[in-house]
Amino acid sequence: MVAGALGGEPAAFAELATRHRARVERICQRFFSDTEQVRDLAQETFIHAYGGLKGYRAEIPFGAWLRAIAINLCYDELRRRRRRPEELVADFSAAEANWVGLINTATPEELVEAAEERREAKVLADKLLATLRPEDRLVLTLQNGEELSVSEIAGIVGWSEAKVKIRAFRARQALRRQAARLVGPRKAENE
Amino acid sequence: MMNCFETRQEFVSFWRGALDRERRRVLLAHLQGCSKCDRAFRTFALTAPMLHPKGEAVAASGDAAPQAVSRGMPQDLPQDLPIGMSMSGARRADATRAAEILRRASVCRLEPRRRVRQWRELAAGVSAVAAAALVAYFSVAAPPQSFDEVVTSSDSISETVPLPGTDFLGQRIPSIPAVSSDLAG
Repeated sequence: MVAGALGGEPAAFAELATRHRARVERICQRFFSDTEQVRDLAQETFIHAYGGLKGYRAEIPFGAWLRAIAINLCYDELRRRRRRPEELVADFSAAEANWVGLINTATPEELVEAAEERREAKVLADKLLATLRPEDRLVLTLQNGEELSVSEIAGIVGWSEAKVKIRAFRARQALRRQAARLVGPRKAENE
Repeated sequence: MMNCFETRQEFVSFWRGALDRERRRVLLAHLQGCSKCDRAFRTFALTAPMLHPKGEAVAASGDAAPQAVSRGMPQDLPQDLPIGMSMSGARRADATRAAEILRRASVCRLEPRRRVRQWRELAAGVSAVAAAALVAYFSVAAPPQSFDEVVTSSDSISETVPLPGTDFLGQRIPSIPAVSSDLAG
């Protein structure tokens, strides 16, 4: 199928895009909560892939190649966006404040179930991650979301492994600071 | 019984509902008894909706493309990085063609994005024309003059210079009477 796409068969490329669409959108979802944005980036990924097909080498899995393009585009988009100041994280809507309350009071099982249904959970998570520097967010997302190793991330973004580790460390530190503002000590169930 | 490290390793699986009943029970028991892990889980839950979004399992299973990407294998990664891939390679004609293919395959809806791009191009064109017009206007309307030309030109004399016997507002300045010789001593 990849060979067909390389040979200029539109049907083959369309089939590839259909098969990889979910995966590409999933990668973009980790970076952006806005559905429209995710679709736009997925679309851009396929357009760039089509334009770069001539440079594609068959020994690389097509999915990994697409993933790297999608990550590249998401990172570009992160850099274009203005970083959210840390202190603005506490600037919640009523629904988000409600979700924070739930984070502090609900049982772990209730949290998992509630997060599925609540859009504000995603919005708040996006707000938290938006306080990070784009490169920190990129590393955190690839490490925690895509579960890539340090060397894999270094290979994709073209950084040294040391830089990836430093970025991951800083991202975790920043998130911990944010969490300290939002997650209070547990309300003891036995009280 | 799980220790704290093992418990935290299971957060993602628990969040995705991928833990079996026994592991789940042990994890919940640990969270119940360990305030640090409980807090760590709540911190995890703050960002998990983005980092481990809903539908993850479905997307992952639907991902079994002919060339399934085995994650975690360094050799999976492109050696010459698409990260550095020249995006100019995606030429306009290619992009248009790709968009058409994707539209037919119903993979993506393309119209809004294309429209935005058209507006951007239009705005860039208008800006360029306006800049060129400004440059042309100033180059014609203000020919370069030497310092002497500027100084001797009658146009360059300021209107604020008062005429003799008047102040800056054009009022006549009253003449001062001569000092008498008596006062002069």
